[in-house]
Amino acid sequence: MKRNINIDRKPLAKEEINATKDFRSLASKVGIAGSVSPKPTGKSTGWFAGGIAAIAIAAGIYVGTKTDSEQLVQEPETLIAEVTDTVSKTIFVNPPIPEADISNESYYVDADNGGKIKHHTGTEITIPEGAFMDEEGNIITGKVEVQYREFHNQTEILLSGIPMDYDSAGKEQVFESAGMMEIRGYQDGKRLKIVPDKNFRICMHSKNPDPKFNLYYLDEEKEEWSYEGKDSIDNPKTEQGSIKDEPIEENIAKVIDKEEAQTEIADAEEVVAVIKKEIKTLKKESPRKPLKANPKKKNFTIDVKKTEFPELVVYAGTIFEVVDKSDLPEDTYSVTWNGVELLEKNNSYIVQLKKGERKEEIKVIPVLDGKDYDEAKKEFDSSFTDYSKKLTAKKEEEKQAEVNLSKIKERYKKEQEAYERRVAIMRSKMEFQAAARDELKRIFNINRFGTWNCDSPIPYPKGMLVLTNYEDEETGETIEFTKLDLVEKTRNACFPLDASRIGRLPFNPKRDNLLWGITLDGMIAVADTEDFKEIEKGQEAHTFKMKVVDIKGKTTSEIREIIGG
Amino acid sequence: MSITQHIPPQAKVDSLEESWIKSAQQDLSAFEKLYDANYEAIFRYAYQRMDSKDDAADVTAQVFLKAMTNIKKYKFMGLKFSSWLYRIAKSETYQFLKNKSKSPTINVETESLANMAQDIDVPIALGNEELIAALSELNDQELELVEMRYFEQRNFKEIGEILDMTENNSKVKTHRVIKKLQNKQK
Repeated sequence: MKRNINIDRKPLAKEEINATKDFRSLASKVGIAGSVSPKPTGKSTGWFAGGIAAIAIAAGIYVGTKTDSEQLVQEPETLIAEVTDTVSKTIFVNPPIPEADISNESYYVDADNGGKIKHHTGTEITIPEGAFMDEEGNIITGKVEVQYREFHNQTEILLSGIPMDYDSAGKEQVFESAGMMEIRGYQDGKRLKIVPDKNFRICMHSKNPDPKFNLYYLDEEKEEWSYEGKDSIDNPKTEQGSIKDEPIEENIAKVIDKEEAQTEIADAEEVVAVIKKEIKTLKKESPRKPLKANPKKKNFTIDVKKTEFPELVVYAGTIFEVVDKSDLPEDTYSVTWNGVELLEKNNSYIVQLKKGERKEEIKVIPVLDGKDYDEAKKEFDSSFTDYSKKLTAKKEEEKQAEVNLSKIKERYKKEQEAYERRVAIMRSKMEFQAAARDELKRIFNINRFGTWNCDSPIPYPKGMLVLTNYEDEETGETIEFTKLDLVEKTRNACFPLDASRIGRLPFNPKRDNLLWGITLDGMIAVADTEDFKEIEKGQEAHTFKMKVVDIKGKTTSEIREIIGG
Repeated sequence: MSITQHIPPQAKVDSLEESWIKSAQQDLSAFEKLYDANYEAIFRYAYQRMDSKDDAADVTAQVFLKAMTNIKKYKFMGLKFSSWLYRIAKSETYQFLKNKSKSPTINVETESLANMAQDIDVPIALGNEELIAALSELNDQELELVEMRYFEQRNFKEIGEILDMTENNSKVKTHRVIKKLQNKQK
C-alpha cells in the first residue's frame, strides 16, 4: 500500500486540537442539541458546565471586592481604592477562590526620580527615573502606584489561579517554580507600561538556589508563557560552597539507634552480673581447710549410738577441739549425756549436751589428727587446686566481661558524642542554609508589567494510572470540581488535571502526593498522601475520600496548614 | 485435587469514568464529559495516521458520533472506554482514507525512530532512510503495532486492547515485526 511519510512534523498544541472540538454540533446530529452546555472557550478547562459558570461568577466577585494590603514607600496619601477597580483579570488568570487570592501590596514611587521598593519577603525592585509611560507612550511624571505580589509555594500557586502549564512542542509540561511575581503600575486608575530601555531590576527572594530555572513571562494576550532567558542567582554563602559541600540528609541518616545501644549495654551488664553470682556461689562452696588437732588444747569426740542419734553418725570420729576450756565442765567426760546437738552459729560450731534439765554449750572447732588429717589435707589440697583454678578462671571471665561492658559503653559514649557533634554541625549548617535561603536572590530585568516566573518545565508524573472517583469523606457524595490539581510535596509545582486526567489519574507512587480540588461551591477538597498510599500496585480503580474544607476568611498560611502544602 | 485461596469479593466502586458512562447511557447529553476527556487522545490517534488536521477533526467527530449512537452497547467488562474509542477510531480512520481515496500517512519522529533503531539493534548512524523504507513495506497491522509502540509510546496491554488481542499476543507480534525489520536491515 502506498503511504505518505512525514518526518518530524510539527506537533499540534493542545489548544489547536481543542479548537476543533464542537460537541454542540455533534449533539445536534443525535438529537440532543437543546440539552448541551455551551462550548467552552480559550484555555479554560471545559469539562463541567457548572464549573465554568462558577469560574465566571468568581471572576466577577474578584474585581468588585478585592482589597489589597497597602504599603507606602514614598508618599502615603494615595488610596488603594482608587486603583483596585482597574485591576483586570482575564479568564486566563483565574483565582479559583477569589476571596483567598494572594493579595497585592501597593507601593508609591515618584516616576520622575524612580526609586527602590523593598518588599517584605526581601525582594528589591529598582526602578530607574522616567520609567513609566501610558498606553499611548507618553512619559508619566509624578506619583505612580506599583502593585506587587509574589508566589513561592504550591498553595500560593493554586490560589493565584495563574496557569502553570507549559506546552513545549506538543509536550504537556508544568512549571516547577523557584519563585514567581506579578508587578503592575497605575496612575489615576489607569494601567501603565514600562518605557523601553528603562528596565526594572528585580532581585527576587527565592528559596531554591538551583541554577536549572529559566525566566518566563506570562503573555496574557497570547495566553501562554514566553521564554525570556535566564536569571542570575545572588547568594554569597552559596558561592562560598558552604551549603552544597555537606549532604545533610546523609549525615542525618547516621543517627545511632539508642534502643539498640541500651539493649547491647544491658546484655553486657547481665553477663557481668551472672559471672559475679557464679563467683559468689563458687566461694561459698570453697573447700574448707582441715584443721589439725592442737595437743595443748582440750578436745573430745562423740561416741554416738547410731540407733539413738542417726543424724550425728557423720561426726563419729571427729575431734572437737574446745575453743575456750572454761566452757568445758569438769564432768563432761564422765556424764552419759542423753542429748547431743551440733549447732552452727556465726561460722562457729557449738556442741550442745543435754542430760535431764541440764544443758551445756561448748564452742568447738572440728579438727583432725593423725592419718585422718593427712588424708583430709591431701584431699583439701587437691580440691583447693581445682577450686583455685575455677575461681581464677571465673575472675578472668568477670574481668573480660567488665572490659567488654566498658568497651561497649565507651563505644556508645563516643558514638553519642560524635552524633551530638554532628547534630550540632548539622544544626549550624541548617541554620546557615536557612539564613542563606533568606538571603538568596534571583536577579533579572523586566521590560513590561505582568507576571514573571523563575521556572523549569517538568513533565506530568508517571508510574501508576488509576481510574478514579472522588467522594466527600463525610457525606460520601461524589465531588464535582471546577479545578483539580495533583501536587507532589517535594516539587514546587501543581499539576492541573484536565478532562483526560481527572478520570484516569497518572501519578508517581514513589512520591508524596496530594490532590487539591476546588468544588463547585468554592470549597477546597484535599486527598492526602495516606489516601494515595492505599493504592496498590496493579490496582485499576480508586475512590479518593476527600476532606472538604471552607477556607474563606482564612489567611494563605492558614490555608497552607489546612491543605498540607 | 488442587486448593485455591478464597478471596472474598470486594464491593464494586464505580470510577468517575464509569459513572460518566452510566450517565451517558441514560442521557446522551451527559456524554460531553466523556467527549472532553477523550477528544484530544482520539484526535492525536487519527492525526498520527493522516496528513490533514481537518481530516483528523472529521474522523474524530465521526468516532464520537459512532460512540454516542452505540454508547448503550458499551459494557465495562475489562475493556477501557478509551480502548473502545480507539477501536472505533482505527476503523473510522481507514474507512475515511478509503472513502477519500487518500493514502495513510506514517508520521515519524526522529527521536522515536532512534529508540526503535536501538531496539532492533540497528546503528543509528546508518541513517533513518533504510528504516523508513522498511517501515513502509510493513502490512497494516504490523505498521499499527510499530506506530502504537514506538511513535505513540503505548504499553502492550493497551495495544492489545485496541487491536483486540491479548497483551502477550501484542508483545509477540510486535517482536515479530522487530525481527522482520532487523532482517531487512541485514
